[in-house]
Amino acid sequence: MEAFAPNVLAFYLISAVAIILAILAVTTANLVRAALALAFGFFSLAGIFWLLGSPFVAVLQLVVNAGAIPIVTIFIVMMTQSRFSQLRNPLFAAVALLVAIPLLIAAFSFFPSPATTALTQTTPLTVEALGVELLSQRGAEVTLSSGETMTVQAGTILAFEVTAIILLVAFVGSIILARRESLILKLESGSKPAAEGKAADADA
Amino acid sequence: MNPLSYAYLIPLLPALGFLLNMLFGYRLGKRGGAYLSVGLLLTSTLLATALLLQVRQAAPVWDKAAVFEVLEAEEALPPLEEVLSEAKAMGASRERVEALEAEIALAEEKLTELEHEALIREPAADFPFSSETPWITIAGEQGIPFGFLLDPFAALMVFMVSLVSLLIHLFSVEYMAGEERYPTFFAYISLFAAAMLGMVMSRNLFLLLLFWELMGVMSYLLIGFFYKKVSAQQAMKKAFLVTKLADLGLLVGIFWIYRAFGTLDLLAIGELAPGLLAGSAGVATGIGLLLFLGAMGKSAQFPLHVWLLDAMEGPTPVSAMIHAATMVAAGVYLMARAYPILEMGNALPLIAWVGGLTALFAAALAPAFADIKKILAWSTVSQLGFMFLGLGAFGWIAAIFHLVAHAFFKSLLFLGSGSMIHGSGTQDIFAMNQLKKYMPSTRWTFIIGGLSLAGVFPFAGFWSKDEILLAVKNALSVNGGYGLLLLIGYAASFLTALYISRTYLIAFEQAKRPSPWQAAKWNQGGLGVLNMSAEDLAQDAEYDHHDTHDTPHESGWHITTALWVLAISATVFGIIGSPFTGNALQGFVYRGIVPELEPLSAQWLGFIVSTLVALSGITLAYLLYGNARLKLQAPQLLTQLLQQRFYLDQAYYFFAAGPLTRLAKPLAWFDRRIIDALVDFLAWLVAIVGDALRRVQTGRLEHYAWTMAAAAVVLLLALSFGGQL
Amino acid sequence: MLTLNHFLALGAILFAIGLYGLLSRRNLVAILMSVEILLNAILVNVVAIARFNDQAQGDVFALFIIAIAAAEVAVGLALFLNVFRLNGVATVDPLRRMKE
Repeated sequence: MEAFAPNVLAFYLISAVAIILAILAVTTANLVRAALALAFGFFSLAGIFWLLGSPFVAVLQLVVNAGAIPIVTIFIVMMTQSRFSQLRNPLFAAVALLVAIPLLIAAFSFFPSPATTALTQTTPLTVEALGVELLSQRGAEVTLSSGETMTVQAGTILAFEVTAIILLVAFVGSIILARRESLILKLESGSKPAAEGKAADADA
Repeated sequence: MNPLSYAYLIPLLPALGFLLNMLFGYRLGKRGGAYLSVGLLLTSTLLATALLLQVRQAAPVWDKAAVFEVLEAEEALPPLEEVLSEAKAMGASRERVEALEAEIALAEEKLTELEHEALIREPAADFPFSSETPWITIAGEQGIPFGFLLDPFAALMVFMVSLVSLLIHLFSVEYMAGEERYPTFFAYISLFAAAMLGMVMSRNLFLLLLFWELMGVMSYLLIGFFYKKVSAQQAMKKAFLVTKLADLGLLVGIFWIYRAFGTLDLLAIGELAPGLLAGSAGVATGIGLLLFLGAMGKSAQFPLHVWLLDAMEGPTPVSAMIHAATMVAAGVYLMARAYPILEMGNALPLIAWVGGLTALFAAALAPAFADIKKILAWSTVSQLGFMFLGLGAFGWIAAIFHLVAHAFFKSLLFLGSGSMIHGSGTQDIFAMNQLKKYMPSTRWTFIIGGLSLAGVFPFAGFWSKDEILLAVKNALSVNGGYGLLLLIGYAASFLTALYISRTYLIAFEQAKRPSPWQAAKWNQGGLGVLNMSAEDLAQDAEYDHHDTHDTPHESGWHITTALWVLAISATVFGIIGSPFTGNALQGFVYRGIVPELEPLSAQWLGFIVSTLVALSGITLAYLLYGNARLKLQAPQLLTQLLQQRFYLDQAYYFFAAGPLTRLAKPLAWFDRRIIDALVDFLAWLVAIVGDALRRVQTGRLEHYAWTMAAAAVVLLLALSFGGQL
Repeated sequence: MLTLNHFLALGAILFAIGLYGLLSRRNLVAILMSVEILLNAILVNVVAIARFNDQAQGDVFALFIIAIAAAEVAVGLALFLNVFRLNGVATVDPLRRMKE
């Protein structure tokens, strides 16, 4: 039966795992466990991307979302020794459910119907084609290694560069923020640096 | 080279000056930022000169005599079309319609032929230079493109604005020296100039509005440049609120234009207006009045002139900037641009009346003031009134001519007054001590500017003002009401000559003496409205002119250079626009002719009357305020009258203390109870809403998250189920 | 047969879970994790829609989402570290001072 074709089975399996792990991640009180659930949940989502025919996004999902982010999170949890988090109170959790469930219902009403295209009818995106899209200008004609030419639709080279800079800034910024003798700490503790006061005087 | 390839630099360079001065101004040394601004604006001015020359080269040259025939042929067309449409509506026979159509076709053919004959030189293929790139696109509509329009009018304005701004910058280098926020000043004033330059180059009204508003913001910042002074704070707020109120009219007018024309493109509006608005004078009148409301605010016409006087709180170069090159010129520019629309409606007489009355009453008030900047401010209001008078009398080219001429001589006078203030350390003309002994350059340039303002042959003001009066005279044939306006115009000219001569005589010729205003006990009462108190003057001295001197001194080369260049350009521009050169300036703007101008031979009478009016004003001022106490044996009564200056001061006192105060009281009540209450109500509303919103800002992270999520859910639910309800 | 709706449903469910976590958690790290789930839900949607329309833009967009998410986590955790040092607790409660 078509309903039990290998990719359909894989989808349901992976989805179930991802959903269960996500629920675990937002409900468990032990934060290390939550982070681990998150990591494996994202790991399984990489399978979804693979199924969808986007191998590069799948790999990136593994490396960044399933790898780096949970590790940093666990690291921070360990460092601050705040392993346990309790819900604020049951009332809040109930209200949160009250927001989340209508959202889910509303979202379902937006699905296109009837959904006729089957996944098997779409072509997977090769890493090379993705790279060309990412690093060229819109409208450029590029000959792939397979010999066929493609026209670049997106052409996001500028956005790519900007994102690179944002990442750099974010990392430098987080290093500065996380330094022990952070400026923010000083400001918060109320002792304004002397230079600041002087500048204010000069302005006035 | 197409001028469009460099024209965008003209407003961009001063804007760059703003950026650089804001970012690095304080690190560029004492005057580095200032010279940077001057340099950038100098480049702009050179580019503007190139632009002017290129546009002149590309513009068509018309044969003067033949153009009149073209105009006649053009005027003959609309009635024919009207007959045709009427005939069609009446259901006339086919032959009749065809005959009419043939007649129109013939007339059109004749027009084309005439036009061809009248052209000595055909316009260049790409004339007028204009650019257009998609900017704001609206589905199913034409949208709003971004573009420049470089026709002769725009090129002339760009040249005038950049040159005057450049000289004002140069002047400020010295005048503002020692100011704490020196680079900030140059940043602001550069962006101010950039906004005006951008405005006159805009191809569509929306872009024009953007620059217009930018100018509003910059004037707000500059008027309040001495922001620690309470009066400056109030003045900046007043200027902003009054002009914003007027801008509302402009905005609605622009919406209406978009609705009526489907476009905001100035070129298209000029072409479409005669056809679209024929038969719907109501729309044209409505649009015209709304635009005029905006122009009234910007160009300080009664009753929205109130902000301009207070705008004197800014440094003197700012006053020069606002009163000459930018800001007030914007209103007249807009009206001249919208003239094709105005022409089709009935708003013009109203504009003429507002302008004429403003010209008269402002000129009548000017002699009552002792503060030189206030005198010049009233003078600006009055001269702008003249421009609107000309515009309302179908003489839009005369108004443009006066706009350009006025920009030169009024900036000259303002910078001259700045130099006087700089040299003598006071704004009170009575306190200025025989400046002619100490400030030769300032004196001679002030004389040139003053004569120009007074309308004395052969200075710029003479030609331009005369042309406006001529337009009013010609308008008599349309509407008898213009006869009274002509008288008003001459009366205002007379008063203009009087007050500017008075200013000159008291400030330059007379020895220092206490201002009669301050000595008078009247001043204790309600006269503060008219004149500054001693404390005010002292406070101004502290802010705007550095220190007081016992002996005045001439200003340095920055200031005198600016003054002389302005004096020369004012005169030269006057000559270019005079009949001696065949009204080259006006012809450049519009088809080689000025519709309202008569042959030179018929203008002599007007010239003689104007000259007489100006000279009598000057003579009266000389008799009243000059040094020459009448030596001749005049009858006792006349001598006394003259010595007491015709009791003019007393009359003013009396008038101010009596009827004016009585008149002022209800006005003050209205101002306080209605206008202020309105403003207070708005402030209260903002405060209330702000307070409510402040409570929403709890600063608790989870509250924000909750709000966001709840809003998303509500939105989604509304979207998914809203359609079925 | 796998259709677009399958993947959209997965994305919607994950999004609802993430939203629930975002609203019910009070620990800052837990909130950050919920935000991560939200982002991944979007990611599934974006990639699915792109693939079903045979367009590369969606995948390109997904790459940007992942990159920005990484930056967000880095800054978020650094901020969290600061908050923790300052207050000694890791919950959102002290953060009401954002108002000032």
